[in-house]
Amino acid sequence: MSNNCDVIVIGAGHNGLIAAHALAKAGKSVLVVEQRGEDEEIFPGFRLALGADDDAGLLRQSVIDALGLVEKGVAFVEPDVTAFAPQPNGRSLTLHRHIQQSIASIATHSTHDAGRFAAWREKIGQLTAVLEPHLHQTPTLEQMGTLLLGQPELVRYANVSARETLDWWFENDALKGLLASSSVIGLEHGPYAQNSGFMLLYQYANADGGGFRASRFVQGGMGKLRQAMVTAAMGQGVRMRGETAVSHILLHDGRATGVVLADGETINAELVVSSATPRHTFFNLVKPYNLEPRFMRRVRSQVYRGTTAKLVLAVSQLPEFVGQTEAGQLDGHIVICPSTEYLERAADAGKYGRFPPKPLLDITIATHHAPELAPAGQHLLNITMRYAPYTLRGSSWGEQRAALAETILQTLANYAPGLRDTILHQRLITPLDWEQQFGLTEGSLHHGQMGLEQMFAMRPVPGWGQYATPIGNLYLCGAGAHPGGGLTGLPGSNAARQILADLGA
Amino acid sequence: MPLPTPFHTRTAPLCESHSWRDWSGYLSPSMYELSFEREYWAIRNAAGVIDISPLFKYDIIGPDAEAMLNRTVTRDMRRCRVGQVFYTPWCDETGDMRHDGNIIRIAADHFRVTTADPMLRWFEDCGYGMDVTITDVSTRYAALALQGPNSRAILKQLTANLDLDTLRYFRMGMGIINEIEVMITRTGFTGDLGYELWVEAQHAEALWDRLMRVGRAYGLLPFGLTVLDMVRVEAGLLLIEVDYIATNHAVIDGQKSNPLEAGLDWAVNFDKGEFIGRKPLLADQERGPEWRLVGLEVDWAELERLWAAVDLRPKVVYRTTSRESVPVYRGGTNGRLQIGQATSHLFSPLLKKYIALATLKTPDATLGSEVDLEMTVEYSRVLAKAKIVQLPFFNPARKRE
Ligand SMILES: Cc1cc2nc3c(=O)[nH]c(=O)nc-3n(C[C@H](O)[C@H](O)[C@H](O)COP(=O)(O)OP(=O)(O)OC[C@H]3O[C@@H](n4cnc5c(N)ncnc54)[C@H](O)[C@@H]3O)c2cc1C
Repeated sequence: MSNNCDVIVIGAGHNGLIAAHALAKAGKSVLVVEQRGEDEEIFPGFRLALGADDDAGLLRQSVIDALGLVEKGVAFVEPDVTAFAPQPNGRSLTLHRHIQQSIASIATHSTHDAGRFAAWREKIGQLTAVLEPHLHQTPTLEQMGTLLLGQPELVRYANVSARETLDWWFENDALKGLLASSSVIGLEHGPYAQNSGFMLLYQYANADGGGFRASRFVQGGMGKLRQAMVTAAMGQGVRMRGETAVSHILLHDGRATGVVLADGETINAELVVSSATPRHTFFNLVKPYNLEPRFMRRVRSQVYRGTTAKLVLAVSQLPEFVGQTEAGQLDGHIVICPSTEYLERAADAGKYGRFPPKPLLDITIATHHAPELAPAGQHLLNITMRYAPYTLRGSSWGEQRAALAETILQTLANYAPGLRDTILHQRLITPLDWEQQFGLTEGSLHHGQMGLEQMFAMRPVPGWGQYATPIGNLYLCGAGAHPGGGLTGLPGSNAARQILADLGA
Repeated sequence: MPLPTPFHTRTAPLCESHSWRDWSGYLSPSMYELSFEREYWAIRNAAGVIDISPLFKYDIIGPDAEAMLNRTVTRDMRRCRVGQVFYTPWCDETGDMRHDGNIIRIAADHFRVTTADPMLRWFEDCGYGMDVTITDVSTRYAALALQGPNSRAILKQLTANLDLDTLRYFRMGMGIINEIEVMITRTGFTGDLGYELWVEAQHAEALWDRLMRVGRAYGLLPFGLTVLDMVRVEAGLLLIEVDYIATNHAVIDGQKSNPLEAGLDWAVNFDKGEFIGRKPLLADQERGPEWRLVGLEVDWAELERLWAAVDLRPKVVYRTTSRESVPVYRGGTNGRLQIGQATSHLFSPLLKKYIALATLKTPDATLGSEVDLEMTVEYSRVLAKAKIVQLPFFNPARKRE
């Protein structure tokens, strides 16, 4: 049987699978090529879908429905506690799925803020409701104009720093720190910088009403979600090739005609759709010298600059945090970020090429919603850390790994004093690791930062925000395309819709 | 204040007119004397030398140097052999001209490009991701253009190691002058027999001194940019920002032009594979370019006729090239229709004709046909009968022999 097909999708991340599914459903023969293998045992007796994110709150219902994920066995876990923030003074703040409970917890810190919280949440809800339909469309410059001219409140909130908007509303550091922790995801700079205002809104789009960002987990772990997506795609006839990297995209006369795999095999196709980062796609798979210089320069100028590290811990028992009164408080995100200033100082270090002595930590306990990942009674902690700059000043990640792990553990020791003695295994993933093992350029989670200059019709670069590329028959469908990163499923579904429209199907 | 070139200590005392121009940030003589004539006739009848050090120079070195240039320019650089020089334009992705220049192949993996405008970033962008290093060597090398019928005889006196009789047009050889290594290319901007000498900047003065000493017996004179601008029109050579506008300088799309429109179709090779701007150029080739570069000639009888109307002899002599563009029409005074513009024009003292480089609408650009060139006769705009002629206007056999 010929291995040629209508469409080759590069990468079996969420977006690649979602695009493959939609294209196959429209009658195309689709092959997905993914460099990574199935999720391995992370430690003896422990399994974890490492590359995958831990929170599925952003995944849109339209995508869940289109792939029939619920029918394929995906169950979402929505714990009552969404975020728990232990404080340096031994107290804590807890946000819940139900806003009245959140307000009660806030009231123990500030009656002023407790009184404002519901109105703030409603305001954010109004703004994200305006934003939401734009995230589902192929972006145009006209659309940006409409937003800029017609939505002054959205522009006001999206265009300033998160610190600014939080200061408009609140006085309490613990609350503002916790909320600000969502505003810097995937960003190089801190909550005092522009773009954090927009990221805050982005993380609240698709959120429920309790006050923390969009958040929910997948029963059995994120690997289950991916498996269901694979099942859905294969159900439409999509073929999968795992553990096979695409070495380069075949070009003829400025058009993509297929791919060459790392083992030298050639596969021809009418269309190539890449969910790899734009930089990887254009520079490694297409090669810069096959691009016209002006476009090449734009791709070269794209900002990636990852700042996220992850420490996975296998522990022999559940940790206990300061300010914790009940076990359920650890069901959601455990956030170490006692103030916006704390977060900004962490960002300062990253800005100058170092990691901070007091980092932002966002911890989830994977075994809460997926106990089968670990031996009975033992647990897996997913610790996301910022700011770990991709480029270290005067040093390298090879030299700094141990020091970073130690910094994270020391910070943790201040909030969960006994945890260190329970550690069975640990694994650190630096921004360089994200790049080398997961294909994330410069370790950028979002396949290019979600700064306003790289959003909407300007994502990935100005002039090419409609999923098509200057290379004929080559499309982008990953987080590097609109609306960007996070497990929304939107780049994949938007791209597939646009491709079919371009084909006149 | 513009910078002195490596020859400044020698050119400054000779520049009696004190008329200097700013050429890419360097002080450059416009004319050495108060009249252009001796310099002009030296080039055509004896020899002239001009300091061309302000040109930008780039070394393109590495295993991918040929491939990098081949994707950048419109000519097939694979056919440029070591020791050969190619004149070529290059385009941006729209197929419009970004610039033009000479490329010298010094070795299989070593080229030197000379340009009038800075081009480092463009070349770097064109070669990004390729195994090639691009270095701006503009200040490392000083350069002279030795031009005119006596130029070979002079050069023979200077360098014994290089056989100048076999150094062909657009070829390069390494000469030793006064123990100084000099790269000699048989190139120039005059359309005459001539050479360009490239030397490390610290040897500039020694080269100049030796050249002028030997050249005296051959009537060698230094010349400036004013006269260069005259002889290059006679030679039918385009000047950037005058006869065409580079894409990065164009304010509106209408100002841009592609090589097919600029008379450089001979320098566009569609068969060599992908290069920047190929697709739109090919489309334009198939459609037929809208514009064509032509040469226009107004003969002496016509000039006399125009000025006779005001009882004057033609007031065109003793003038240098005008870069003030003027309209070209067809259809005579009644019902005239503008078909283009002349961008460089002058009375050629050598040819005794008024000549112009003009860009005309293709259907009106047929060789031999007659058009009307606007001229000014005593404050009045009049139409001169001009003939479309083959370029270059002046093409002596000695240029290539
Ligand atoms: C550590 C981390 C934590 C995150 N946490 C969250 C979270 O909790 N919630 C959330 O919503 N978002 C999170 N994100 C962001 C989110 O994961 C991404 O923005 C989103 O998943 C991107 O999906 P994608 O399908 O576009 O790209 P990816 O998931 O990056 O998929 C691209 C795929 O292409 C493959 N690939 C690349 N190059 C090649 C090649 N040459 N040949 C073959 N295959 C190739 C890669 O291996 C990869 O599997 C997180 C990201 C990271 C890195």
